[in-house]
Amino acid sequence: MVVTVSIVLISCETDNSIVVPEFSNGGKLAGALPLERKQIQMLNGIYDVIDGTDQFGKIVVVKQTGNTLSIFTGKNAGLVVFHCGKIDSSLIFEGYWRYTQGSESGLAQFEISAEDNGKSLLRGIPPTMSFQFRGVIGDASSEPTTKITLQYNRPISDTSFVILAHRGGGRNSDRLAESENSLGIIQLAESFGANGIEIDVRPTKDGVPILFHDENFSPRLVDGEYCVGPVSNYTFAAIRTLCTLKNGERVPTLREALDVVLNKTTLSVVWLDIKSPDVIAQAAEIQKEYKQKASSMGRTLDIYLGLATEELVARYKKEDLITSAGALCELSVNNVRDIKAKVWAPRWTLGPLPADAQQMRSEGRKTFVWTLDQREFILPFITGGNLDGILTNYPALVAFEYYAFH
Amino acid sequence: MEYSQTIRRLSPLNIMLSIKQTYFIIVSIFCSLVVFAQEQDTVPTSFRLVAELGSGYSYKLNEPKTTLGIYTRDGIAGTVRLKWGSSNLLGIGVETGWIPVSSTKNSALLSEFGTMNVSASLSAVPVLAVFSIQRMGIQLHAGLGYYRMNSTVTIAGSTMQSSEWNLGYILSLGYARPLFSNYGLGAEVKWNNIVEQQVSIISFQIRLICRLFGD
Amino acid sequence: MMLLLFFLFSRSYSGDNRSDPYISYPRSFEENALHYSFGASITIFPRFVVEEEIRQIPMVNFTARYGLPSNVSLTLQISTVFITNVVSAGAMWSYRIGNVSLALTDDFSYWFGFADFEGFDTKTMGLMNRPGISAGIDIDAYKITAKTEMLVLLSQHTYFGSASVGRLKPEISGIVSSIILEQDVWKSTFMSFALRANYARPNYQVWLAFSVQDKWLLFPDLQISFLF
Repeated sequence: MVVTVSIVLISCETDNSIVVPEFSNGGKLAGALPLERKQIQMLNGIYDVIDGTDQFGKIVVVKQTGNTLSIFTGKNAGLVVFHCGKIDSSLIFEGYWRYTQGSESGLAQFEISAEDNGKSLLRGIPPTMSFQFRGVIGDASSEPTTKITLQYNRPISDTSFVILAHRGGGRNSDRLAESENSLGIIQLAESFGANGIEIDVRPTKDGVPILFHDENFSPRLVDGEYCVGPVSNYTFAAIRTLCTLKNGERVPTLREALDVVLNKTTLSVVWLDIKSPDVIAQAAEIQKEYKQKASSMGRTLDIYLGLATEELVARYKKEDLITSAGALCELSVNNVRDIKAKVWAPRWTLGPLPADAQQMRSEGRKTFVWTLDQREFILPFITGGNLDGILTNYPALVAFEYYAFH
Repeated sequence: MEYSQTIRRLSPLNIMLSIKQTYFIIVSIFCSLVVFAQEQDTVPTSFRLVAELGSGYSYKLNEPKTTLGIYTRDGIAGTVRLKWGSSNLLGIGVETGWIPVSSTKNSALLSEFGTMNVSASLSAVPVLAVFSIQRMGIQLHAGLGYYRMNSTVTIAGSTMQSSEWNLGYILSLGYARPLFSNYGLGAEVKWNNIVEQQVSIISFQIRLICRLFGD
Repeated sequence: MMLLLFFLFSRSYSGDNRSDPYISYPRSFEENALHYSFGASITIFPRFVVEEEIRQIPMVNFTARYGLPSNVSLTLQISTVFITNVVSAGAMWSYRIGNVSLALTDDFSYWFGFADFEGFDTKTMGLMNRPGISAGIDIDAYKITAKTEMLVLLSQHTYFGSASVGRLKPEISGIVSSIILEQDVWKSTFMSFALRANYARPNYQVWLAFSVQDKWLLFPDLQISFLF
């Protein structure tokens, strides 16, 4: 029965599990004091890999990412995320490493002793060319024993470039126990290398702006058998009662997401990908409210209403939001000028458009390209795109390529 | 946000087949085809159009991930099938019907919105292309197509209805005996899998078969 | 193109007294014998590769086989869904033991896709080699064939605006196993029912998704054709 096999095969989807290990009993950090962000920032730089080229490639980027320190590697879009602490004048870094385009992962443990730059770094003296950042990594949950030595080479020259994590944290890259467009993944975005996020906003039946990408519910995004078909068929109460995101989280509202951005991250850009004209007016109100909140907190936070279709642009104009809201327009440069958008966001499949991007810059606008996920496609945009930002599912990959190139 | 020991599965309920299992199935199917074909070898080719009506008990196989209250996952399903039957190896047809998938109710559900009266139900209407082989009154059916999923939800007095087409398939094993002239009676065990909703239903149905045309 | 081929092949058969048609069944053709098929296929991809985009990729297919001396046949396949197109040409060498036939096959496939609409200025093309083996059994009106092919991606180039990315390194990108049933369904109307189990990386059918998923995935492909 030919058909029998075909239809059974339809059921077969690959399991993309990934294990992120942790140190038992909290590791050495259990007894450590936390490092301040500016102390972590002292380690920012481009490093040559002395020991560990098989694992990390020839150079790596080390960068403070919120309260964590991350290492972005040239090999397999690798990522190391450290929580940082100090015991006396020794600096302790513990966390995990993994290849964001693969399933390999393991424990990572680095240390800077008091004598070996620990004291000077705590005093605010930046590392010199002779500084070596050393540690060990392991496979999965096994005790880390593979020696890694990183030799400081140069500082990171430009951190203003915007690296936006797709759907809050990246889709395939960040296969942790946090769903896309969830509050949890937003909190992790910085450690992946992002300094901005893109999140999807659509309305419920009763008009509540929620974070959800697809037009329809499906087991790809939610658990909840009675959530079938269009999201807009269900009230907010029904959605929160009947289904959860894939890792058990509640479907968040836009307000909840922006609260997390403001209070639990240092992200500087939020791209609201507006999925329905019916949610524009409300999203604009919330955008205004949270920009004011950020301002009152002394935070620099750009929130853009992302408009991807002619229909959305028409509603944006109809709602008379041109002068009040900051828009990000994915259509032509003429559309961008027409609605006085602050950001032009062409799809990468149009290729690098450096002349247009330069023109946008001269008009005081930014250019973000979406959604770039492959190294060979990313490079032409980084080297000659005149871009201000890249939206990606692999923030670690873009972070490595951008900081290493510049 | 602490890092922790975590495993995320993108498709937790999917049937996972290894490549070895897949090739085992392929070889098995190949052998089945050969065996059935050899049995049919001496039978002269003839064609017929057959209508089938079936009804019986159905049961949803998947456990719900969470329950809101009283949960029911069985009911009475119905089937209508039109088949271009043949004494030849392969018969082709279409199938539809109605399958009650599940329902739930709770008159006092505690939630972030207070205490609510909640009820919900899910049903499916298959529209499938089916293929069959038969021998000595035993029929194997396999079908591929879409299921119209219908959800009805009432929460705090507000009722919502929503529908969607989802890809799926059916496998069934049936037996039939001729009653008189163009009619027959039989039974069938059916396994409906609505792949895109990750829902599987088994049903046991009595079937009435009517030959509309042919030998 | 398809209609032209259909017309040409139809003309070539006028007045020909042929045997039951088959394409995939690995028995050799008589010299100059020609059979062809028209049909449609559907490939179903994992949802996490194509998300809410079209998960089922339907294609229209044309296949032809022409007999040469020494149990060799030439094969031609054309598949299209407009934005994605595949042309394959190759050869088959057959060997028969009783009513069981065996064959070695090899095809070269050139595939190309283009997207020139809102947000896209993109095209891609690639070259594949597909060596394979097949075995079949002929039981009166039924011809049942099992076939396994290896997909070797020889090169692939993608153009996006003014930039392009190319890859020339050959790599094994998949294994495709098929079961094909060729039979008479109604008064000498012959049809072919083929199932393919693709164990491969996401390939040309979903090029527009630009998936970075590098895992080998299992996805089915069902093809139904009329044989002439």
